[in-house]
Amino acid sequence: MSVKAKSLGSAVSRRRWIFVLLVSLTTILALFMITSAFLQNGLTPTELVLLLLYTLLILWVSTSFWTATLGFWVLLFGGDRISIGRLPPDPETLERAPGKTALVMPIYNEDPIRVTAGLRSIWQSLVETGQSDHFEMFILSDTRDPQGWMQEEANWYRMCVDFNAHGRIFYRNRERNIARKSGNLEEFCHRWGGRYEYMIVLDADSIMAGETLVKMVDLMDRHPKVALIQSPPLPANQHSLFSRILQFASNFYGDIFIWGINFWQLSGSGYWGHNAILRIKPFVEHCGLPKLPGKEPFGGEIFSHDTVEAAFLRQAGFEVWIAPELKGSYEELPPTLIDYAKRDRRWCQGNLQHLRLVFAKGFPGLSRLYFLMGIMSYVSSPLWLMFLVLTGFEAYVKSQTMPVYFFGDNLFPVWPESYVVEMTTVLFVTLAMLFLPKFWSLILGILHWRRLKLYGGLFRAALSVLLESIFSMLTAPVLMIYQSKFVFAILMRRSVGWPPQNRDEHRLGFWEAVQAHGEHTLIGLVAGWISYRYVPGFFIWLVPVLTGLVLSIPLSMLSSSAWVGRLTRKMGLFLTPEESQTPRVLELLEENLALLEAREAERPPEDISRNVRDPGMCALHLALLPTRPVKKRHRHQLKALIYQVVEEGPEKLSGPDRRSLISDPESLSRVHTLSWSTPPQC
Amino acid sequence: MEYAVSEHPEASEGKSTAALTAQIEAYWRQLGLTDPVLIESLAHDCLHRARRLIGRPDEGELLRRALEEAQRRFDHALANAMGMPPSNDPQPLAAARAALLLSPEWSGDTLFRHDETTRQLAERLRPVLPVSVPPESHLTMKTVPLDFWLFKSTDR
Repeated sequence: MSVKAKSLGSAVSRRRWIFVLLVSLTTILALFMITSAFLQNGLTPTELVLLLLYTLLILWVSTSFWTATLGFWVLLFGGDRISIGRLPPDPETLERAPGKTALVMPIYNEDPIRVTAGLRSIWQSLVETGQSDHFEMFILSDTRDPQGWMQEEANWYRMCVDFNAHGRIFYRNRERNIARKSGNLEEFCHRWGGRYEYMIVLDADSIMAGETLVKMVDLMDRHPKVALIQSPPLPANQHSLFSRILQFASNFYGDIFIWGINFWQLSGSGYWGHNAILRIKPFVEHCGLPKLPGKEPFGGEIFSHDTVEAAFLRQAGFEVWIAPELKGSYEELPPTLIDYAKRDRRWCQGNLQHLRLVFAKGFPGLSRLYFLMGIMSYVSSPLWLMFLVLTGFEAYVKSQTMPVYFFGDNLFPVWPESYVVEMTTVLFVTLAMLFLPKFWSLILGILHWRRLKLYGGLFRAALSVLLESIFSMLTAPVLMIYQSKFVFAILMRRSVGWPPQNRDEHRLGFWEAVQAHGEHTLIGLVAGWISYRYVPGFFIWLVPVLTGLVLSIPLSMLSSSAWVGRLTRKMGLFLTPEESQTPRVLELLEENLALLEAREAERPPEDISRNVRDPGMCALHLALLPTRPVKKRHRHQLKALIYQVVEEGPEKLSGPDRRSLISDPESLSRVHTLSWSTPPQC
Repeated sequence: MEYAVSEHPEASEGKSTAALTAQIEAYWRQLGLTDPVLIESLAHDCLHRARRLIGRPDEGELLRRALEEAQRRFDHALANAMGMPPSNDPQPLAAARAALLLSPEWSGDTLFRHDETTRQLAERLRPVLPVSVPPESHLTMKTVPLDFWLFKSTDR
């Protein structure tokens, strides 16, 4: 074992022990205080359940708190000396040429303009580094929508033309969506994996600067034991108030969490599924995902594959790092609270599926901890909900109990002991752990004055932190109800399928908001009335939770507004460094979005046969179709579909039927001619 | 279709022919042709040939045949320019057609000039023919079996 490996190994175990000790001590201390209050008159069954819930919740809160605090500590002293970007390279690798790398973007029914604008920006940024020779780009489409499919192809080809990147940028549309995104990547590795040493996995909304990509490859080249490096993506390019607040929060508080994660995870870190570089050989050898026994939601294909793939890589003895010093890695956020909740629904199912993986043989303890942390990120919501309900119930029971001052042979009154101090301390410790990370970030901002200027200066940054805290406090109960419902639905074995994400900004209408949040408002009003009527003392403590629920409709509508989002930007609120000094790659994104939207405006209005009608797009689609013989029966089916087009028009055809037609060269040519044999659809 | 039939048959036929010709001319323009004389002449030829192919006066059928004729002529000119041998595989020709139609700076008129510019066009098209995927280089990704405590294990 080399000196480097030995010192890294000892640092890993030392740091993990520190982390475990801090989390355990905090939990024990909080439990001690709450138990001493509960034990006043013996432990009731309700109190026992409350204790159990509180143990789980305080463990979860203190894990997050200590991660942030350790990150804060590290950043106070200029960052961690043990990080992948600062470790000395393996001497044997110094002379080697950069490994050939595929930039892969799996997509599924996404907005073709946004996807293409992102890819163009990444490619341009990469070319501008002057080190793009060892990179190739792959658009791995799982898109089912026929219009979207043809549009993606045309956008891909124009990108090749515009950047003279023929034979460097590739496109493939999978015939069958097997195993969703992980299956998409698996197919890529199977067919073209041998061409590349690394792949950088992008999401449909990923943006990565060229220098970041080059740096990631360089890090992999210098550290052959590393199989995966995760760059921390920051949200960017957000416009609605909701996503701008989240963008600010991720940006302003993100650093301490990322450095904190690096502090205790080091070479045993995780994978977030995108904006990461993977060494293809170990990935192919060790990350073939099995199907879990049973049906969805707990069985079947593994939804949240990234966590499992990282666990497999670590199990095989490879290092997996997060790289806090890597900048220029971006992603986008859902524009509204409802879209955010919808995304949560998918992630929730994926994470709960990991419950079984906690019991898988062979995984190291750390991997099990990550699985549990992923599960807890959703299960904590119903736990908080139960905790609140039971606390209210317990408060009601206590309010109905008359104190007895004289009993037995006691001559003097026995005053009931007060545990207000302990309970208040527990409450404030919990709140402190939730809010202190925000304060740590503000302190770091003050210490790094120049950077704070990019957030609008001290006053505006502090005001943004305050407003963000109020906003997150108000939306937390809504998300708690949403996530509790999701967990319950999944436990009832209702699967979510694989809906595409909504990434476009759109203002939430009143009825849409009422449909989504009506029940939250109702819960807030009913819970408020019950607590006010029966436990007025508890009602006061419940006010922040109730306010969020009662105001959920106007809050959700207001926060969905891009106009309000832009107004706050003008006012210098929720500013991020990317908004103050736009990085080159995000400038390119803006330029490409404008270019593609202008090209789109030049085309005929969108209708169901627009792409098939276009001879260029039709020819390209035909050129890209795989050649295979068509069975006689299928040929008859295709002919029947064409007759249906002639008699009823293409709009009567289902999406899969239209896809069948354009997947067959002969039918495609026929449909193209037919589209010109009638006036264009309006 | 938007062709009127209530007028005198001859007048109606003339109007209908004009509409058909306009549609075929529009199609030729979509194929990248810009020269109005060439477009008019090709549209007329296509319509004429389509009329000879169908016996009954069915406008829809006539238009469809004329469009097919336009496609055939365009592909023929393109295959000649590119030096492509006759083949049942439509894809190489489709690739050349896509490259020509989706690259904004080239005009389809060149295909019908049969001179040096046609040869130059072919030379410039060849390196930009769409290549959607590189040659395959296979790796086998084996499924990793998982054994569980308390639960059924995955298939091996």
